[in-house]
This record gives sequence, C-alpha cells and structure tokens, in this order.
Amino acid sequence: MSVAKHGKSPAARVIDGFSLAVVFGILYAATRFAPGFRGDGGLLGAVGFLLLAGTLMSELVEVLGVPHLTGYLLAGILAGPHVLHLIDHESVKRLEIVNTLAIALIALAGGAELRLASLKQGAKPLAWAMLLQTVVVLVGTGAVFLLVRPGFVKDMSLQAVLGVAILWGVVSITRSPSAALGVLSQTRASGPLARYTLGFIMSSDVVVVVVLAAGITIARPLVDASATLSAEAFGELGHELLGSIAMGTTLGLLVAGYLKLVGRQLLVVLIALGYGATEVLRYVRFEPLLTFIVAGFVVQNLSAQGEKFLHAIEETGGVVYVLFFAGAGAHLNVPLLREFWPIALILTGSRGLLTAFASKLANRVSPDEPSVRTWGWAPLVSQAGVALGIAQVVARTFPTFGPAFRDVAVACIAINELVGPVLFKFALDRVKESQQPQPSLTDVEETAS
Amino acid sequence: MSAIALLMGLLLLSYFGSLLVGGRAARGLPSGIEYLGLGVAVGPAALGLVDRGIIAEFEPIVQVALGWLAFVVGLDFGRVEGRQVRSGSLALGVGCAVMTGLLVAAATRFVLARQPVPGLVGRDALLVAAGAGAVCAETTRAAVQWVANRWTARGPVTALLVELASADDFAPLVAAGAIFAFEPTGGLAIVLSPIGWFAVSIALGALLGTVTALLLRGAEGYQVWGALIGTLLLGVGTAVRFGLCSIFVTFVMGIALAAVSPSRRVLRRMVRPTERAVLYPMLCLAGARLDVRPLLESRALLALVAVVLLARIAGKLASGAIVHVSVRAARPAGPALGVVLLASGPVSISCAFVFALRFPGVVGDTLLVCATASGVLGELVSTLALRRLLAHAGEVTEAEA
Repeated sequence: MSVAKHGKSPAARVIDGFSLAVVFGILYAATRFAPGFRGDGGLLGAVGFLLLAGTLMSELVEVLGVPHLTGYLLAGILAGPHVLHLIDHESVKRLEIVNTLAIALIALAGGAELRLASLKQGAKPLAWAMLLQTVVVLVGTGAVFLLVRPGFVKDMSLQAVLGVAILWGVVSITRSPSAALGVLSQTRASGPLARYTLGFIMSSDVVVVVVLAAGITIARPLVDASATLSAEAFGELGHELLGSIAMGTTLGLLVAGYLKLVGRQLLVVLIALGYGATEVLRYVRFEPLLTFIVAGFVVQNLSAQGEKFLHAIEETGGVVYVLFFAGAGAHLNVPLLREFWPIALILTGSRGLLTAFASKLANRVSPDEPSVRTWGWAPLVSQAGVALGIAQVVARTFPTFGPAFRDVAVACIAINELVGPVLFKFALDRVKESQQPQPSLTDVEETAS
Repeated sequence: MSAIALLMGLLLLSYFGSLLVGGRAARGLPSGIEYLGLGVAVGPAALGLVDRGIIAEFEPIVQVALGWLAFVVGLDFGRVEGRQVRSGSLALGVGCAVMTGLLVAAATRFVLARQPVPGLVGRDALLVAAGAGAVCAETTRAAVQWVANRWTARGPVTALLVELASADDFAPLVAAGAIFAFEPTGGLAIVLSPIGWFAVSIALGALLGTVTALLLRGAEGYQVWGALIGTLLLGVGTAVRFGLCSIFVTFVMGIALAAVSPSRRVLRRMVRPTERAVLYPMLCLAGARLDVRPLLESRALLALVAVVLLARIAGKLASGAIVHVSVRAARPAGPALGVVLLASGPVSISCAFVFALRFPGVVGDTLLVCATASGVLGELVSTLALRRLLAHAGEVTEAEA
C-alpha cells in the first residue's frame, strides 16, 4: 500500500510483508479461537481483511510486474473457503452486495472514459475488430468445443452439441470491463492501446447482450427438439436496449447537472446511484451495465464535467474494486478448477489464440496504431463477472446440461481471470503507456509542513 | 419500506450531515437527538415504516458507523481545535466522568438490589448498572462547541469546557471495553480472564493502529481510505467475533494511529468532515431500534431510568462543583457549572447502541433509553444554561446573547 514515488525500497517491501502477515495473523486467530462464529463479525472481518490483504498482496506481487488486480485475486483465493478457510462461504456470499456498486462504478467509469473524438477517430478499425473478434472467436471456440466434446455432452446428439457449442461461443466472446478498467486505473495508462481497449471492451458488452439473446434463441431448438425458434426474445431485447440507452442518457444529464450546480459529496451520490439506480433499473427490467455506460458517456461528452466525474469515481472506486476482485478471488472455485483443468486449459488456450488471430486479421483489414496492431488482443483475454453471469443464465435456462456447462465455464473463466490482467499490464508496459503514481499522503504532509 | 429505500434515506441523512463540516454551522440540535427522534418515528414503535428485520439487516453498517465514530474520537483524543488539551483539564475531565459513571452505576445497582426489575436480575442487573455508568459518564463536546459557534463565545471558561468535554470521552469508551471483557462470546477455543480480554482489546486496537500507520506511509489517493476502512473493519469484525467492545478497540486504534503516524495532521483533516455524515444515519437507526414499550409497561423500569438520570444529575453537579473549586478559570462560571456538564450526545448513544447490539433485549433497550433520556435532558437544560453561563462569564457579548 505504501507506494513510493519512484518504486519501492526493499525495506518498504519488508514492511508490507510484515503488515500482510499481521493481517493474516489476526484473521487466523479470529477464525481459530472463535470457530463456528455466525454473525456480522465474520462478514466485517472478511471485508476488512480482503481490503487490506488485497492491497498489500498487490504491492508485493508488483515486484513480478503483475497488475494489482492479480494481487487482489490472490489474497481472496488464499483466504477463501477453498484454500485457508479464513473466510467462510456465507461471508463470501454476503460480500456479493459490493458487486452491485462495483459494477455500477466500473460501467460509469467505462462510459466516461469513452471520448467521442477518439471514438470517431478510431471508429473504422474498432468496428472491424468488433466484427471479427465476435465472429472468429464465437465460431472458432464453438468449433473447438465440438471437437473436444467435454464429458457432459458426450451422450448428446451432434445437433444438441452444436447448440451447446454456440452457447460456449457466446461465453467466449465475453470480456471483462472490470479487469480492463482495474489495470488501466492502476497504470493510469493513456495512449492508443488504452483508448482502443476502452472503446472495444465497453462496446463489446452491448454486442454480447445481443449475441446472448440470439445464441439462446438459436440453441434452444437445437438442444431441445420440442422447442421452436421464436423471435420474441429479440423484441424484448430491443425494448431493453432502447430503454437502457434512454434511461442512461437521462441519468447522465442529471448527474452532469448535479456536478455543475452542486458538485459536492460525490461519494454519497455515487453510492446512492450505484444501489438506488440499479434497484430501479432492475424493477423496470433495463440493463444496468448498459445504462451506466451510457450515463458515463453522456457526462463525458455532453457536459464539461467529465474529468471531475472520473476523478470522483476513481476515488470511490479504488476501494470498491479491491473488494470486488478480492471477493471474486475468494469466490473462485479452486476444486472445480482442479477437476477440469485439462479441458479448461484447452478451451482457454484456443480462445486466447483465436483472439490473437482475430486481432491480426482485423488489423490487416483496417490497420490501427502499431501498438494496437501488436498488442490489441492482450486486453481481450480477461474474463470475470459478465462471463460468470452468462454462464449462470445458461445454467438456469438449460437445467439438463446447464450446471455442468457452468462448471466448465467457471474453470475457464478462472484461468482467464488470472492470466488476462497480467497479459494486459505486460502489454501496456511494453508500449510504454503506463504512468507514474499520484502524490502520496506523505508528500501532502511534507507540503503542508 | 425495503432495505434499499432505507439505505437511500440513510444516505440522504449522511449527505446532509456531510454538508455540516467541522461544526462551523451550528444547525440543528447539538446532540443530533432530532435524528434519533426521526428514527423512532419511522421505526416499528411508531409509524412502522421500517420493520425489525430490515433494521437487523443494517447491523453490520451500524457496527462500522459506531466503530468509525469512536476511531475519530481516538484520532483526535487529547486535542481540541488543533491544539493539545492541557494535562490538568485532561485529568479533571476524565476524573469527573469516572466519578459520575461510578455514581450512576452504584445508584443503579443499589436500586436493582433493593427493588428487582423483571428481566433484570443477576448478571443482567450487573450489566445494566455498569452499562448505565458508562453511558452516563460523559459530557458531549458537541454541545459546548455548538454553543461556542452559535454565539461566537471565546474565553477561558469556553476553552476549559471544550477541553473537559473532549477529555471525558475516554471514560465511557474504556468502561465499555472493560465491561465487555467480562462477557466474551460463548464457545471460544481460548479461555482468558476479564483482564486478559481487556488486554486483548487494547492490543488489538494498538496493533491495528500501528499497522494502519505502516500502511499509510506513502499511500496515495484511495489507498489511504482503503487502509483506514480496512483496518477499522478488521478491528470491528474481530472484536464482534470475540464479543469484545468494538468502539473501545477502534478508539484505541485511533489513539495508536495518532501516536505513531507522521501523517496524523492530514488524517485528522481528512476524517473530521465524516463525523456528522456517519453520525446522523447512526442516530436514526438507533432511534428506529429504540423499543420504549417495556418501559411504558413497567413502572419499575421507568423508575430505574429516573434513578439513572437523577444519579447523573448528582454526578454532574458534583463534577461542576469540583471544577469550580479546583480551576481558577472556572470561577467566573459560578457554582451551577454542573448543569452545563449535563449535555450528552453521540458518544453516550454510541456506547448504549453497542450494548444494545451485544446484549439485545431488556439490557440493551434500557441502556438505549437511558442514553436517549440523558440526551433529551441535556438539550432541555444544558444548552441554554451554557449560553447563560458564558454570558455571565463575559465570554458572550450581550448583543450576541
């Protein structure tokens, strides 16, 4: 946590290690001496621990050049119910309430990072990349799935396996806005690769929502012979998308107005927005992620409040992201990964290769900046919450094979969640888009005195 | 009302609270007791807009809010308005609070021994007596600062009162820590004496305060808040798990952090504006939780609360007399100084709320009622008495008074 202006001294690392040991020690003592405790204390201790251990771990793994996000995940995995059992399943489940706020902040920040001018500038390469990444990865990973035929589809007909493969393709084209923003926020990167990543990742969420509806509609009659193809889902989807965009625009204008006229207590406003607006959006059945992306986009591009808004989100989001990713780490199903690792490795490996191939292809059709040409695939490897959400939707929609499908997906997402951010940070460092950290608390104190 | 609606309401209170930064504006009542009233009004005891289930859902947030308030008190302990409290005032403030607390505890114990109250026997009677002592010990600095700001009072009496009220926060928080040490969570895999658990509370707070100081070296932006919130939550969670007093642990944590961190001044500037933002929602939830029905149904309980208040009045009047006699600067204030010291507020209610969470039922409810009654009494007599006293001492000009 103690980040010096120009790297850290070994002594500072030792202090971080010591602090991490103390934090682990306190939680260890609490769980060993007060076993079987059920109550708020367990949850509060878990939240505090994840915040501290996540941040400290991120500082320690920084030596290896990996992003902070990986440190958050590692802290969660280590303390979680599958490894050291310092945090129980119930606490991990209750921690999910943080996700609502985290996803809202991630989407708002993502939308606000999209500048119309840069989007216009790179619109053509971005559109080609989107098209090719979607088609190549969806078809390619679906084909690999068909070839590999995991255990749970062994007894299905070819037609049914084709339906499941389509769904697998949909999961594969899902990227992680949270991971991308987490890495970008830590590195404060700016440049062609950072711009491309934001543009791609944020727009790809909209594409995924549409492709998911299409995928389910097409897969249903393939998997279940008694079902028929119905376009009803598209009508609902259209309503949801349009409504979300309209709601996001309104929300964005309201936020911009507030920032201009009042502009204070943004922490409280963001929390209210994260929980209150999400609840309203769920009630009216609009898509919160899309709504918040649009709201952020409107604040950035239709008002002069974009920078102020981004700064406020960064201040609030920093703490929330640590908790979000450390919680995701604790949630990570390690036994499942152990069980499915061979097939998960094949599926994730092929997805990574196909993503890189699609990126090269897109740059051949419509060339982008050199950094994007070389590394444009790296930010697209990460997967997290959205992919898990889609796997859950599949599990619910297709109860016969859905749960097994979800288990394999979770194992693959776990690998991508760990490997993706490392690759992206590596790429940003290589193209020299990463920047120096902000002034520290010590600097402020020195200035004040 | 749904949990989200309640959350929005609490955020709204927090929003208004955060607009009142640093007590510059003397708006509302000094103790913030009106927010407690709002809580009672929307709670199950009155309009029933918020039911007990939803209030229970917010208990983790309440624990954190209480811990944060005690942490802020600890971080600023021994200082008022950016300067060190004089050692004489510190000792006098703590001594008077201890004396009042002991008097209240003794009176409550005496009454309960003579006239048992249903539901308050044996261990519970002892808990209520000790808890009442802790809850009634302090004089809130908020009231003194409120009057000083409202009527721009300046002078030795004002300075003395602010120092006394600031110093005496120590007594209720330490007393709560000591009382909880007698009642750790059942089924623990470790057995310690009450002194042992008290030492564990201090060690936990001191350790976390030191760790926070280490984490804050060179921390930037959100990491500062992350370190503060993280250690606070870990401290509160661990304390709750062992059945220790969370506000005592975070109070010690604040003191330890202020003692060892070179960034203490920046930290104080950072956290001070959060006090009211956290306090108002907490008071509202305390009000919503307040169950006055047992009190209305039992005359013995009502009489017990009256005894607690009378003992507090006696303790504070005696404290006033001691201050008047022992401090030269207090002479112009006159012998009625004790009336002014009756002001009670956030620390008392926080203390009672922690008891209510740890010992739900008659014990917790009685202490919460005692803290509320003490706050109302302070508002009724102390604020106006303080203005009159400061005018009499010549520290408020007639035009302003």
